[in-house]
Amino acid sequence: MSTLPHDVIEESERRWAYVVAGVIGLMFAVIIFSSVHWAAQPPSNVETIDASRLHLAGEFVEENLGTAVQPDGSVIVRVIAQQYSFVPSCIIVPANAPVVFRVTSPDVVHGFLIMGTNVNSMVVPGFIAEVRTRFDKPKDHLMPCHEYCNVGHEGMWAHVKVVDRQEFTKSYGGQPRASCAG
Amino acid sequence: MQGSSRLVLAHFWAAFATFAVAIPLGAWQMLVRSPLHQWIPPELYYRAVTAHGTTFAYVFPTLVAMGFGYAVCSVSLGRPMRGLPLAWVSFLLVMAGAAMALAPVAAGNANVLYTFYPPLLGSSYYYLGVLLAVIGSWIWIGLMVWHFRRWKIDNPGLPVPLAMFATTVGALLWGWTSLGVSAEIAFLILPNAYGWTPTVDPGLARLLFSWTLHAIVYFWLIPTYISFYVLLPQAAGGRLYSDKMGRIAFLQLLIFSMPIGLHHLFVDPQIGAGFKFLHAVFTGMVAVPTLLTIFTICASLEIAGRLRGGRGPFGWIAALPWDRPFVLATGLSLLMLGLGGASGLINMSYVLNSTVHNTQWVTGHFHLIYGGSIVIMYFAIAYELWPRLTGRPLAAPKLVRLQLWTWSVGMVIVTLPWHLVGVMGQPRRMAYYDFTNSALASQGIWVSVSAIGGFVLVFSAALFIGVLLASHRGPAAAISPLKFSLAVNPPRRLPKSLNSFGIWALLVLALTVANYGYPLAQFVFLNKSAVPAFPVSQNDRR
Amino acid sequence: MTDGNQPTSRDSRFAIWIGATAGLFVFALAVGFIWLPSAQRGADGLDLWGAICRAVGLPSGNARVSAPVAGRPASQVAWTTETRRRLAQGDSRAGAAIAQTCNNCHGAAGISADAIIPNLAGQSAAAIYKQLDDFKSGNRNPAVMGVYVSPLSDQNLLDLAAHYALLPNPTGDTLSTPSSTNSVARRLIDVGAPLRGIAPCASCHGPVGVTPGAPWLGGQQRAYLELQMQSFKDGTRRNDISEQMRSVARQLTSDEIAVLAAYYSNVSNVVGR
Repeated sequence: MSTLPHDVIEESERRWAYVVAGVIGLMFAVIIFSSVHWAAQPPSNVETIDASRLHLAGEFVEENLGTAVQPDGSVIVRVIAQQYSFVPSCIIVPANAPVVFRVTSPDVVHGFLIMGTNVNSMVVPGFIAEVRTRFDKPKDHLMPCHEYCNVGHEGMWAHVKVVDRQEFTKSYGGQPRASCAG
Repeated sequence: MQGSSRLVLAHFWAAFATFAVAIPLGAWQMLVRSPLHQWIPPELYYRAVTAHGTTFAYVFPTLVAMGFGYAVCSVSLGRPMRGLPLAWVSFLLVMAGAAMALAPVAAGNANVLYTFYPPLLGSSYYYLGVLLAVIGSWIWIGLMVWHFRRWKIDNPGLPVPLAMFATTVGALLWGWTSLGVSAEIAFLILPNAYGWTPTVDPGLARLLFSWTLHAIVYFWLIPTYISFYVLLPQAAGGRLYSDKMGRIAFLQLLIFSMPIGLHHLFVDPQIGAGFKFLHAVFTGMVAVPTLLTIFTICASLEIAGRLRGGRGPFGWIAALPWDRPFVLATGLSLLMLGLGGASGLINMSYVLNSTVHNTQWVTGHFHLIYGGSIVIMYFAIAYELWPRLTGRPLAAPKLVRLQLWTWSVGMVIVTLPWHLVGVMGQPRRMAYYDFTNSALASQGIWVSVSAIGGFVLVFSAALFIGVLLASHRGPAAAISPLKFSLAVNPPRRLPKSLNSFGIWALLVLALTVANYGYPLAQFVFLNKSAVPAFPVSQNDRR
Repeated sequence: MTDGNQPTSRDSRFAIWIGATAGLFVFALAVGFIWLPSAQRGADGLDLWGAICRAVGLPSGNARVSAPVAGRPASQVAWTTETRRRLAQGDSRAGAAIAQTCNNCHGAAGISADAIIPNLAGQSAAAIYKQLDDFKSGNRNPAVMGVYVSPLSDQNLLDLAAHYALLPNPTGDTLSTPSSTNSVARRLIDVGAPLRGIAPCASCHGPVGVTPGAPWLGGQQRAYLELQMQSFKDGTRRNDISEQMRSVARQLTSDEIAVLAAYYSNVSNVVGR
């Protein structure tokens, strides 16, 4: 093919490679920018915990589950994901406050996402999953388990109720660990 | 094909037989979890998902890659393949492994899904079967590498034919990446299943599985890409734009496919975010060979189009011989690759991943890219090889085109709404959803649309099998031998970097240590994280 | 770079690619382990070194874990490998001897004559052991059972559990094949009510799936079942680990509880283990 000499082909491929490098570079830039400026990044704490003994002692005993208000106004929500429910099954959080979810499992791998938000995490037994977020407005969200955890997986749905700050303090402020699980 | 026709045919028939069973299962699964069907007791659904996933992850694509590899080996090296008895042993091991794995699945004793995340535990035969199938395929790897080296020794200084070079890439990649799931099964799951170790560490198991989980899809992808480079230009009546770029692309796939598996674990708690970011960066790199391939293949098609009289910036597209199955399949594959690749870029985007992780977006994505772009080229390869394997021309070219179109249209109908419900937040792997709830109601119609698409795929799958059967039984005729495409400038000599694997294998090893070293090593000193197993079988009670 | 015509000169591709890969690695390391963690450490109150360690994944003693609100665990039983091992070693013959006393209320064959006293025949060993231990520790109301259980040792409990698990449940097997899901009970058993937080009963209580300690319900005494579910619902019974049953029972209506108790009491366990 005399009309397509080798170096013409090479040159076109090289130009395309620059385009590709540019596209990939742009993606990296966007990722880095959003990570730096919105402090958004995947969970990073590695904490282990004895999965079989959660209810006996430590952070995930029954009385310690639920929403705990911190002195600085943020909340920590401690949840257990088990076959086949989340505890508490109805999670109450105030709007416009930093929220930290700390979740673990006594049995198998679960996961959860909060529909309508980007809260999304695996829950691996033996480890504590921590997700940080903020809910902008009062709303009810569904929170399904999203990893197969054996035959009851499709039944594993919790609810997250976001209420405004005043209502939260009025209705739930008195409890050391709040939930709307009834 | 000089003696290996039966071998290749056996692999392909076995692959398509499993395909013929697993596709209707998939359509059924889509139906029963859609609003079109009332809720079924969930165990059967998970049984079907396990069967469907196991078949399409460990059996079907392995057989296709192996069969195609033997075909390439026989044709591209200009001399008959050797070691046929070993190849048959390999085939039998893969089939035995598949049977051993799928039998307990069918009986409902291994409802663990193809990802089998411990501490869920199914029948030990399931894991043994998968392991056996994987190990059986390692014989194929050995044969490919042996033939590669043998040819180089016998032809010193000459470029290894691109088809064989790329096939060897696929073999090496599979060999390296299959170690992850093999180690998980052999050292974590089976010892726990047999009671030799009382617990299993689910974090370590997921990490080992991630070693395999990404690169395995490139193992599936490589036959498709090989066919783009070595079969398509010929089929379109043109030449391959650049042989060298092909080698570069395949080498990049070898280097970057595997040490990126943590992007499946972005929201896992057992890995630090630094390593997650590291893998995200290298995942960006694995997009490069695909983008290079698209350019090279489009350029090759442009050559063919212009040779056929196409004019102007786009006139060559219309001039291409779209009636030829291979060309049609490629066009459809590239369209689906564009869609599926774009959604893949979202998945890898570190932070954006949390919007889609474990939603139906992910399932939609990999069905589009695997079931769509990759598998349609498996069909095309089969159509191209069939006359050469059977000595009979392909039956019903019109049906072939209908089959390719219905597969693509069906796949788009299935997967595009699937992506959408994923963004709407629908979680994966549930046997049914309560679409009467207002938060979920809007998802219902899209799930139904996907389900209908599933039946289009069943129709297309039936057509495919039908065409292959009819062709196999048709009257014998003289068939032109299989020839691989010529490059515009076929290389007469190549530098070592594009004709051998020694140093690149070291780079793969180094990257593996760099990217997986600490994440794996940390489990030596993490304590408390191992947990007892949870058997899934209904026959295994305590 | 070479073309097809010239002899190969020194192949620089190795150096270029390996160098570029190493460079990319260093870049990713710098951004992922230093820059990003340092930009985000404010949220956690970490210093730079702490943020880097966190990014690596070094296990942290987490500052968030303040003193937990303490209470009484729902049960002293934990499903550790140790517990499972001990359960497997229960001696059913020793258990049969101890069970002479139990038979007075629970029946010689493990089938009681009183609707409020549970049948024990064919019950899961894990379930029996746990309930006995909970009575002994007081986590389950020991009003009636306490006096019988307190003199028993842990091994006795394991042996009793092994004994009862082996007793046959005599009525026929109809629970294993789900028939139509029209009835309220069948629906709850087979498919549950997901958005009410009710997984299918069969996924924990069998025959489809079994979670540790979940009792078989088929062929159980109707009044007993109904009382237990109501007790979970109003919280008077709270020995279920991490509220597994309370979560579900709170969502069930009293009618549903009655219907489930009626349904389960009329069918047997799935036979065979």
